[in-house]
Amino acid sequence: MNTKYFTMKNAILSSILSLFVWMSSCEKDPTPVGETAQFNLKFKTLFNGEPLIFNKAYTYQNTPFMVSKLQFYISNIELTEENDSPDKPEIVTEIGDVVLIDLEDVNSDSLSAIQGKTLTFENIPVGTYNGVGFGVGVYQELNRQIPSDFSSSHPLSSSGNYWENWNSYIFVKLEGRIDTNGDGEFNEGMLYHLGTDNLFSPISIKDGNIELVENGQATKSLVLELEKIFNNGDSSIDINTEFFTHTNPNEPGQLNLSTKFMTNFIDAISVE
Amino acid sequence: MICLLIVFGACKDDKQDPKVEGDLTDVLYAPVPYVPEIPASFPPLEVPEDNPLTEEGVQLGRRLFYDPILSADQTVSCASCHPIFSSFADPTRFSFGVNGTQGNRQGMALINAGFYQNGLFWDGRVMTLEEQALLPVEDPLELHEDWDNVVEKIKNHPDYPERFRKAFGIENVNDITKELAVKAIAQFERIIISGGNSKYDQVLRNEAFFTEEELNGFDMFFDISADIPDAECGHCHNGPLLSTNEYFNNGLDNITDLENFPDKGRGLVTQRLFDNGKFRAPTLRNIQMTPPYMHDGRFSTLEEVIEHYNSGGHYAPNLDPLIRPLGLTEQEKSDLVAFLKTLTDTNFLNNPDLSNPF
Repeated sequence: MNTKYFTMKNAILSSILSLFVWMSSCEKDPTPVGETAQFNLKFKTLFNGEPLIFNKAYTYQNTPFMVSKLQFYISNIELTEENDSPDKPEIVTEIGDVVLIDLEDVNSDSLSAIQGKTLTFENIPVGTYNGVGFGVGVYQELNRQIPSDFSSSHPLSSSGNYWENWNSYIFVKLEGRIDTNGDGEFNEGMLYHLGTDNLFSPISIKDGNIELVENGQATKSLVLELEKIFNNGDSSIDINTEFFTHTNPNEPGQLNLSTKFMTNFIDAISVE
Repeated sequence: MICLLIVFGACKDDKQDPKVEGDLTDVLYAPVPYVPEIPASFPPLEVPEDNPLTEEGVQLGRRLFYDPILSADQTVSCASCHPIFSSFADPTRFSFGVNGTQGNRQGMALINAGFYQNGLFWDGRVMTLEEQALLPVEDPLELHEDWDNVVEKIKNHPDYPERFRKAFGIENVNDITKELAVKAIAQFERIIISGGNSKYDQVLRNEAFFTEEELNGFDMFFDISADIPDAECGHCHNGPLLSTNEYFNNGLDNITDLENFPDKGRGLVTQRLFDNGKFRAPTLRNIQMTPPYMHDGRFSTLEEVIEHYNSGGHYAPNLDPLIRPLGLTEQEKSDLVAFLKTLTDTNFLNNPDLSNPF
């Protein structure tokens, strides 16, 4: 008796499940298990069209400067694809949570700087994607955590990239030195440390297809143009006078400078 | 049936080999996991899978740490340059090794070394405590001994072979190696933990209050308010360990050519010119107890340290941008020192697992 009951019940359940699967298939073919590929996201940093070399003297608007550090977090990293139905929102595939991009290794010599920094994301479902998106910084929910919450291999484990006074990770660090008086000595420290939730800045880049086929890989190459961080219309930064900010919320001058810097930083990123 | 068993038993006894020389298998190997007390705010203590903390391993490491058997003339131990009373830092400017030879850097505090994940020593030339413990023994400026000799001395010691058996399960005295010795020392160093009981920690937990001077120092240290100067300290000395474990040129020497640093520090490790003259930002926990200060111990007091940073340091092309004239008043400098003294936590002085066992 019991056996018969379960058999009938299973048959009904199977029918419902089949119907559900069939209806789902009308919307979008599910990606079969195992069909994955690798996606690479490459960053190159340029100044005046040439790869930026750390600790090399450059001049911007007659002010000599050099960069010794450039690192930034990106989080909520995703690929997007158009929906079959144009009236429905595009489909988003999350490919990474948070990455710290430290350019010291790649921008210390010209050979490496030309290659840029490549982030690799594996086991991404195959498909035709129309764009890549991420936020510069650490998204709010993740930004409530602190370095002690993580083991040392995690990108958020370093206390050097966290500022307790803000309760925030330092989203972007650009450091170097400037010669403000033209005497040939880089007399002033240049330091832009950006953080706090308000400065988290999403960016979406859609410039055509990213085709991921099974066991294959595709690369999206982006460039970050340093001069555009300084020179961006009303948001331009005079490095001769605006060369230091910790984004201290108690100091409006620092907050304004950091806000301009982040605006420009996003505008300075484009497809290679 | 009983007779048969006796016969078999007798046969077995007859065939048993005589005890192998150096055999340790009679000694019970039953290591007990050691669970260190870690302050709640600290990051995870990461322990290598092949060297878990055990009571036996820690105690063996503690003995080796305090035992001059590791040195060439049996006069110098790890503890000679890292005594417990000064937070396991060398109270002299340059450490003295065997025969009174003088080193070229100050022996930095070992407290909380197990939490450092970005290199050890002032220049970060090794990544693990196991690697670190290998080096001083053969350094001619330190213990100036050959590890083979050390291992022989340990093998012939009346006590150590059994302790190695208990800690690592070796079966024969000849299984003792320098790798096991440094594992034991590393286990001991991993439990040298200090923090959580300083006045600073108590204030953070709302269990105590800063004085007015200490509070002003705290505010300047961490750049709390726009109304007071930013002393720029907390950018390199932050988090529960009060260190970012990163490497900086903090302006100790006036250098225009980066090749000319008297001690190239981090640059010797990375082989990058712009890393010359950079050194690790050490923990400031117990800083009151660890003079002299800087990698070369050039400053005897905290007041001298604060004066150096207030001055903006000396120029070099790779001078860290945070090192700049601060313009602090005498009172503000004094307040910073008052705050730094709230970082003192001497509870570890009374930890029986850390003191000299001999």
